Amino acid sequence: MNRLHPFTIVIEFLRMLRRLIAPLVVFLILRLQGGGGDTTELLIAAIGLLSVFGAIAQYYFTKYGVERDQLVIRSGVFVKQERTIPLDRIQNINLTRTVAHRMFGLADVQIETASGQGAEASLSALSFEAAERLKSDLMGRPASADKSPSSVADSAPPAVDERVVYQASVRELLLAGATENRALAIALAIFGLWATFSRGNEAEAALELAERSSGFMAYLQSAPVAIVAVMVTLAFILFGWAVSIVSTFLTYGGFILTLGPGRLRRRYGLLNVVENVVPIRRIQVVRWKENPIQRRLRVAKVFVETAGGFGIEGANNNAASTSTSLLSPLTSRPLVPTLAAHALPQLPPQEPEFRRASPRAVWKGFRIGSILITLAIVAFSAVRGWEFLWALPAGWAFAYGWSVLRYRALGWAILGGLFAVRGGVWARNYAVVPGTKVQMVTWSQTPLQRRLRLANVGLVTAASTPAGRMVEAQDLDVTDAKALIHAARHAAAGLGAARDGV
Amino acid sequence: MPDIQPEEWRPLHPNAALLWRIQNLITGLILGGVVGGGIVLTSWRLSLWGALVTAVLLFVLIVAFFLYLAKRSYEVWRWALSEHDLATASGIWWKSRRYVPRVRIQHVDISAGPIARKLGIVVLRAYVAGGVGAAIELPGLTPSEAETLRQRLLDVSEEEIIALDQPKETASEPPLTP
Repeated sequence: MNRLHPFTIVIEFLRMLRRLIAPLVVFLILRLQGGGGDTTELLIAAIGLLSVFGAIAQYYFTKYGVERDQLVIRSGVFVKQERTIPLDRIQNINLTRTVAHRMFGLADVQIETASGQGAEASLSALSFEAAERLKSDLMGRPASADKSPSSVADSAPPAVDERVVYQASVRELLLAGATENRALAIALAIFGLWATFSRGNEAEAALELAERSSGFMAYLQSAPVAIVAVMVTLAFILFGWAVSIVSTFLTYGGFILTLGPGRLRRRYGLLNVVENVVPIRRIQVVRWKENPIQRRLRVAKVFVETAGGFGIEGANNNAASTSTSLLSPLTSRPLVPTLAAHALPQLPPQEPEFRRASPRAVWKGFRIGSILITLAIVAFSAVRGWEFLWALPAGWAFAYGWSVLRYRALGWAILGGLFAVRGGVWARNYAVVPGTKVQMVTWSQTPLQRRLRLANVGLVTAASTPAGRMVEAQDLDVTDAKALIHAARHAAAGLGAARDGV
Repeated sequence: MPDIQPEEWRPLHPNAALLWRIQNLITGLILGGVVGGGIVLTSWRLSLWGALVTAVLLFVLIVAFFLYLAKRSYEVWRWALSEHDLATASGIWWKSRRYVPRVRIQHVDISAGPIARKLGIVVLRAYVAGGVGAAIELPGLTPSEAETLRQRLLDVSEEEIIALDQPKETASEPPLTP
């Protein structure tokens, strides 16, 4: 039986610290405010010591090995546990390497079987060589010839039966970082926090900051407060933007997607390196998404949704995180159907021809939107003064515009045995579901929809996330909806592709 | 695949209406009590008579409405078992239908709460793949009806289920849930 790598202790210690960050921060704040006293320091020391002992214990008591066609893992300090997984039940082996792992030449290994409950077995951490050796022992594939974990590729080259189908370019990563506000929210939150903690309003806080940047002092003292506030806000926004771009590179740099028999392998990350396999048969839905800027630039993000199991986004997953797996952080729009076709083999690799929802959807959206906006404006006016009623026509115009945008985004298509749906007002979302993955077909009509002869048709899958679980075509004319329901029931019952419209 | 004909849609057992009426009566009484009590307690400005009358009126309205909901819900509730799927149709104002292909049904539960048992009806739930609550529910059959339905649902042949899982390259791996 093999042991984990000794440096596991460091990794586990860091992990426990990270989990305890919240109480630690609370203690620190208490301390800064003068409360707590010596007990806080004792507590912190105690927590630290416990973490170290816990990490050592975990290292010492965990052993793994391959015995008689089975993977055996023994662990547990007080309650001993032995987990046995027959080799032929193992579907995937996923490797995760955070910065700490890479510093010490280690890797976390997660082993997944067909039960799809996430990682059945997790070994944290092995040396990179040991991890690769284990991978080859378990999967029966030759281990990588390139054993050094610090090479630029940072991991084994794809196995001989796999080929690269997508690799993110620098331009794509740059665009991804620039067009998704990954860190903007964080930057704004920091700004908000800081503004709250400096007593007084934002303008004063901004002035404080400005005073500290000596070079500007004379100028700023004469500039109106508003300009300073604007400058500072702009600075924060630019900062957030830069952080977003850098963070995208760090998280997804080197993104490479390879296709093997019945599986897609993804490897990405510059800081935390993640290697993860998605079995194609587990894929329930393929989705892609483009915000308005991305649409202008003709790029989109592509995901797959799986049933159970996991898609690791970032390396911090212990509890099974989302089952959404990114196929590409951002790729050019014309290539999306080809990429999607790798995940859903029955999908023809071209852009689906979407059929529109019923034009009456515009009126439906407007009715609902205008009622809500009217209520909001009237309520606001009742409190703040009736002169605000002038906003009503503007509100209605807004509701109408929003409804038109929503209608134009709506779409549906029957592609042989698969179904495609499109929607979204701001960002456009597309989803494709194979008929064989449809677990339930739903039809729904609100009273307004019934009056307008509209209906929503929903396709329910076994995907674990809300976005994947239900793919819904909205506001279809009832005749179209009936046709779609018919085709969906037909395909879901395994009767093969219904002829379009029949 | 033929559409489900209107005459194939069947209602639930009549005792389901009774069950829902009882359940809604309880809910209505509680809600009516809360609202009525709230009115009486908070309108010290109005005369006590006025408050009492309003409270009683609201109470009666609420209870009546909930009873009406129960009755109407039962009247619109339908289900159907076709050759390929199990379907339900419900909703007084918000119409909803669910179709579950029979080959997708993983297992079937039959259960009954205390009041349902007294009334001699059970709830049948057919589960599909995909996490908690992925199910279709028939909340009002006689025990024998439910048992017969359960057997028919689970009688889908093994070959039909295995043949569903495409593409065929995965045939060498153990068949499992999608």
